[in-house]
Amino acid sequence: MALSETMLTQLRRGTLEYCVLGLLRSSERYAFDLVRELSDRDLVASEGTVYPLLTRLRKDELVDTTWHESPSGPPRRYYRLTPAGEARLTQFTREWTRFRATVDSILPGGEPR
Amino acid sequence: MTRTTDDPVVTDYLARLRRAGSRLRPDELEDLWASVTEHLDAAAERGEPAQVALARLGTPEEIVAAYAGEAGPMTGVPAAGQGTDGAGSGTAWAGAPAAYAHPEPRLTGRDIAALVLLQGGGFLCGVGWLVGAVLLWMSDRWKWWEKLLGTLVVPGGLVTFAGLGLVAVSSASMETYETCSVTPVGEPGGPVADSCMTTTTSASPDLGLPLLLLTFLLLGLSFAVTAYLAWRARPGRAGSATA
Repeated sequence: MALSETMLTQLRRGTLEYCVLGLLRSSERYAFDLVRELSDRDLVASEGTVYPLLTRLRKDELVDTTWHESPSGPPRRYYRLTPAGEARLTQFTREWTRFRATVDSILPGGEPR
Repeated sequence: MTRTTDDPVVTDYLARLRRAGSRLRPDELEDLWASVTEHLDAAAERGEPAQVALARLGTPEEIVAAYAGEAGPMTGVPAAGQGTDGAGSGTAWAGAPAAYAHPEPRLTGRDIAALVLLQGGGFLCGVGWLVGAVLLWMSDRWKWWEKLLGTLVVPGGLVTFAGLGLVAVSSASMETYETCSVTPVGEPGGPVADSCMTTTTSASPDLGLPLLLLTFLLLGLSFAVTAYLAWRARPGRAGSATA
C-alpha cells in the first residue's frame, strides 16, 4: 500500500462516522445512496465496509432507520440522524475545527498560532 | 422487481459472505446479509453490472472483518484491520464502543404472540384474543389494513369456529326413524305386504349444513389471513411503520 494511501486510511478511520452523520444532517438518506456518496468522495475504499459502521451507529442510537416501500423493488432502508447523533455531530464539528486549526498551524505553509 | 440474487456471480459472493460471516452471531450475519443484498439490488436497479457492484463492495472477508471491528469483542471475532494499517477497509474505527445492541427488530416474539393469540387466545376466556389484537395493532410489522384484516377475520379466532361448529353440528344432527305399514293384498284375510320407510330428519334441516360449510370457509379464510400476516412479518422483510 502506498504511503499516501496508508495516511488516508488513518485519517478516514477517525472521521468517517462523522462524515456519515454530516451527510445525514439535512435529510434522511437511502442506505445505498449514502454509501455511494461516501465512496464517490473517496472516503471509503470498499463500500461494503460502511454497513458495519452504519449498524454500529444505529446501535449507538446516533442514527435510526425507516423503511420505505419502493415502487420498483424491495423496501428500502433509509437512515436519519437522531437527536443524539446531531449532538455528537455538533460536538465533533467543534473539536474538528479546533484540531484542524492546530494541525494547519503546524504544517508547512500554515498560519502559526 | 429487480433481484440480483439469481446471478451466479452474486450467489457465489453471498455464499462467501455467509461462510466468512459464520463467526458472527446469527442476528449479526442476518443484518449484514440483508444490507449487502439490498445494496446489490439497488445497484442492479440502476443498471450497474453485478461485477462492478461487487468490486466496489469489497470482499466478503473484508466486510466481515470490518463488522467484527465495529461490533467489538462480543462477536468474538478478532478485529482484522485494527492495529494495522486497516488495509483497504478504511472504516475500522479504533474508538468504536464495544456496546452491542440487537439489530433492527424483525419478527419479534411479540409479533408471533399476536398471531398465536389471535387464533388461540379466545380459549383464554376471550381475553387472550383481545391481547393478541392489541399486540397486532402495537406492532410496526403490518400496515393498518393488514391489522384490520387480522382483527376482523375472524374475531375470537379458533374459539369462534369451535362455537360455530358446535351449533352447526347440533343443528345438523340426524334423527332416523322407521315407519312400517301393513297393506292387505287382494282379498281380506289374504296375504299382506308390509312396507317400511326410513325417514331422516334434523332439528333445523335448513341451517346445519350451510352453517358447517360457512364455519369451514371462515376457518380457511382465517388461517389464510394468519399465514399472510406471518409472511408479511417474516424475518428480513421491512417493517411498515413508514410505508
